[in-house]
Amino acid sequence: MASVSSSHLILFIASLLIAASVAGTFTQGVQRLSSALGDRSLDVAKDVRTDIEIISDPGSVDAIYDDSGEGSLTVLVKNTGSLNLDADSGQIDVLVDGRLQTDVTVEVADGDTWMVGNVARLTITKSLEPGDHRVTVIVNGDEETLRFRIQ
Amino acid sequence: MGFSVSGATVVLFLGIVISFGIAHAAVNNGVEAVNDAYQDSTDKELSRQNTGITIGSAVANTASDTLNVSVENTGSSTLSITDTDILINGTYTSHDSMETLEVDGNDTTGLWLPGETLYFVYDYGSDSDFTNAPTRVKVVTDSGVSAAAEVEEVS
Repeated sequence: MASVSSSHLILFIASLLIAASVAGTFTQGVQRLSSALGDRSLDVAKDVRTDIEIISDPGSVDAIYDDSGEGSLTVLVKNTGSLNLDADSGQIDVLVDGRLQTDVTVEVADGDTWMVGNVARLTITKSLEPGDHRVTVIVNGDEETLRFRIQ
Repeated sequence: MGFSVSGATVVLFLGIVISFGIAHAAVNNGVEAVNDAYQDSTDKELSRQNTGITIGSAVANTASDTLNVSVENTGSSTLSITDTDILINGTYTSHDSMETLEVDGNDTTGLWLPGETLYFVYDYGSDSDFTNAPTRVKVVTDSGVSAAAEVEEVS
């Protein structure tokens, strides 16, 4: 009889161990999935809250393109969303005629930080030929394009 | 065998309950954050649809070297003057450099109500950037709705 109870005990411990490891793996998987879901939803919420508007006046092209020296483009971008953004060139992608620009300086025109309602001034060093051009600014997936003509 | 099966079932069941708790909290928080964001963006879009401005007059007085602009709020939403931007010849011009900035004669208010007129005067004669009178003016509201006009010269 003793051998029967000890084999029962062994089977009991083994089944508990297996069940515990299965439950542990399952819980861990769900935990990872949940934290990924949490991060992703924060990202999505950030993208939805971000809204920018290019407010430069294409009618006054002299304020957009300055051909003195190497040539520079000035684009005014207003934060019209519900999230304060970072006025940092690492967070803002600028494409001029479809090419990504790396020489971009960002400053806030009416304050210290690029809060909701504030305007950031992007200065891009780039020489452009007369003709039609387009500048695209991308922040958190929100894309705005400015078209203008240099005489 | 009976004890092993029920013991294992209890352990597995506990694991499933705990997992469900974790997943539920994460999904709930995530959905709430995204929903709030969509709500805010819908509200912004609604106020943008209700916003409208028209430049009534943009006149450069070459005798006094001043630019006088009046802009009417033709929409149905209340606008903020602090978040309204003024571009003269395409250049951002801060409110502090305006000689006058008032709404229907009131220069202390921060609100620009529907039907009211924003009036500002800029002394371009004291700005070395201007050798001639400005030619264009653009006004942008807090939601990004804008109005632009050519400046008329009078002496």
